[in-house]
Amino acid sequence: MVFNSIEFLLFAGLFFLLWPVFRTKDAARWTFIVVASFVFYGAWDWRFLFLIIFSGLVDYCAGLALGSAIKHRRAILGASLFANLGALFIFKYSVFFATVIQDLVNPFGLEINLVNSIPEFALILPVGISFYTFQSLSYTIDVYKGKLKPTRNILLFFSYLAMFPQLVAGPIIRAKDFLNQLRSYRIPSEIEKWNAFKMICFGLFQKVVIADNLSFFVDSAYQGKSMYSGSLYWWFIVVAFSFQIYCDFSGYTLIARGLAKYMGYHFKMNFNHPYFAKSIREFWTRWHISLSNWFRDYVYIPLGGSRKGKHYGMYALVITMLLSGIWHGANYTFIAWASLHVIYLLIERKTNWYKRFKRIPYLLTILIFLQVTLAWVFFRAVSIDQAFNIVGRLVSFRSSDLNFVDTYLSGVVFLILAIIIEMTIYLRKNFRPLKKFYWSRKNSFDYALLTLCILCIVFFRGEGSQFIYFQF
Amino acid sequence: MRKIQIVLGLSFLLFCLIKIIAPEPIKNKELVQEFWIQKTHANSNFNAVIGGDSRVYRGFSPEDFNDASVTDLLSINLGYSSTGFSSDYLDFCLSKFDVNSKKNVLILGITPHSLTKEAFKNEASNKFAIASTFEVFRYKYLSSFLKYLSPYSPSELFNEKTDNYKEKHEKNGWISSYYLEPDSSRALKNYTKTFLKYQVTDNEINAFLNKVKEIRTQDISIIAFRPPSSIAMRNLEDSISGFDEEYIKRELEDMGVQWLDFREGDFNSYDGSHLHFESAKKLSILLGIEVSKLFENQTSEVSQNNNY
Repeated sequence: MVFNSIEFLLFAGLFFLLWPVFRTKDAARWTFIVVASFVFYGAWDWRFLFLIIFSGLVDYCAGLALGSAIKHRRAILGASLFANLGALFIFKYSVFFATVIQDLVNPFGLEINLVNSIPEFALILPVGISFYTFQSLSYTIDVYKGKLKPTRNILLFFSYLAMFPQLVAGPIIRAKDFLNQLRSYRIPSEIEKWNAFKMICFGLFQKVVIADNLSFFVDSAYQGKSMYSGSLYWWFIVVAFSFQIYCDFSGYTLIARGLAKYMGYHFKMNFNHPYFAKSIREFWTRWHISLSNWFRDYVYIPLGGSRKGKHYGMYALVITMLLSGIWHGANYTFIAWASLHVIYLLIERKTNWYKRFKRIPYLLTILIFLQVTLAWVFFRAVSIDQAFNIVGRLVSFRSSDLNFVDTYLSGVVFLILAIIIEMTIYLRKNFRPLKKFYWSRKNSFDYALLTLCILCIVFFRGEGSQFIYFQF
Repeated sequence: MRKIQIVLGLSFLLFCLIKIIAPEPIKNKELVQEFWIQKTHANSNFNAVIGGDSRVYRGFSPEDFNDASVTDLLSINLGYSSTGFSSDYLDFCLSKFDVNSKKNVLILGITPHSLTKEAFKNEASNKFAIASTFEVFRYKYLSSFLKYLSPYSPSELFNEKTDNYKEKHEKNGWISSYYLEPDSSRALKNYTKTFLKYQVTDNEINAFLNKVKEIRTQDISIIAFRPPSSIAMRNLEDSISGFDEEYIKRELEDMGVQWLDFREGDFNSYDGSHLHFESAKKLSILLGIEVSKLFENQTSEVSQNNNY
């Protein structure tokens, strides 16, 4: 079930109608959240509910065992990591690694076909597996480190793990932040409801108006269906993809946060205008914040972080970024995308080049955006070859006719709209005169903008359906 | 809550205002989906089912066919884009017959492309066949309300050029279509490309003929024909597709299938492949008349047999 569907509208309507009835008593509240979340997930494919239940049971039991055990704590943590990462490996990476092994041995004349021997069920990628696996793991690791007391209530644990707004595409919430919230209930205030409503409306706008309308042009280009191939056309496509993926994922997160807020809970911010970052390092503190923090806390810092000297810090950085790349997908393209970010980050650390541009922040923002956009080419491309081909076209500046504008007028309009909106929201928060102007007429602005959002959702929604990050 | 109510109220008012002032979207996506889901998940109460590819779903009007046939027939057009006559597709066609009726006729619009391996994948019909129960419910029963929420394309607002292609989704699976400015050579280039990639092969022909043979053992009459297009298209298909019309015709007639011949010159194609809606109506009437004759002959044969 996706947020931008009639099914979800009916589901959410029913859920929020019944929520006040169930929220007052702990057991009823948790049961209701778990059942609703399972219905939400099961609407996609009920068979994979068993995987969430398995993953959850492993970590619930591991948490209890860690809570009472003094010995064998490492073994318990190891078992949880093995079970969770094993399931993730089977469903997400088995085909990829089988292909890698085949590619490695085939040049030596060894003809093996590992991919065909993978069981059929493992060829389907369960929606959101990377998200709930990481969420489940963070619980066990926090209990192991003594940062969190394990919960004995299985319903409470599954309410945390499977809560439907964030189940399939995050944000990745932490047990130490969220279990306490779930232990009680809050009736959201009027202002919280209003903010939740704004988040849901704007999230839907980002997804169905911007991202879905850009997806058609981006997809046709990457699938080789377009008749254009000039540099300007490809610049249009790669910038369009930067905004498509941002609006798609940020839109999802906003809806998820809005739904949680309407229930009386709080999810932390997951995107903070990443394309206004003034360094790649800053970009990673603004993009998919919950995942960046997860990798920082559970991979980068345990590897030593920057505490063990420069060289060790670089090593930790490379490992963390590559793992982040492969988290996104089982393909060489994601490794290339992450490698490019590693290169950016290492150059930044070594040279601090961006500091020289601090006096011209707008130019710096554009330079960082271009770096990120170039990396997205590898993220979106079907293969490394295609990615290099596109990069070649981008930098060749040949046959730069503007005929595509006529054909893809809608795409151009939505891209310009996306850029204007992002700039306006950013400036509204950071540019004092605009901020003052907005606050002086806040209600009128909010009414007008939200009404416009709703009308655009109704009249200009695109045809895309699935969220990009579902596949991760 | 008051603020939310104000925004929702404002949105509703402006929505109504826009719906009154603005013209309907050129393509109502809700109704297009409804059309395909309705025909794919139609009830099994038809006596005449016509199957084929886009030349069939654009070239056969069930309403005109029903009117032309003397006997009381209810027909459905089960044509989809790039359809191939695979066993599964023909089973799907059979599933739409009224099993209690004695007069059931399967009409097959056989194009060269419909006997290629690529067409046998039947991606278009499968896409609608696997729709979830909720989707079927939605498009069968809610579309009449949701059609008012069908979105516009911004190019409709900014681009003043009129689309040359005009279509209307009619009842029971027919899309009536035409070009404002016809171009009878437009489709030739695409078909040339297609047949350089995919050819009619023995595998698909044999699979199709075997399935027809199996259907003939049931109490269902079969009529087959090559949907008319343009003379240039027929020549092109005969020269590069690997399609041997005479062979197919002979084999089918040997199984008791009635083959109908239509001359390209009697019909008008707007793009060299698909029939102008007026020609589609004409073809449907002719088919209706032929089916009536078929049933009349069958009735007289039965009564003669009874007399003996």
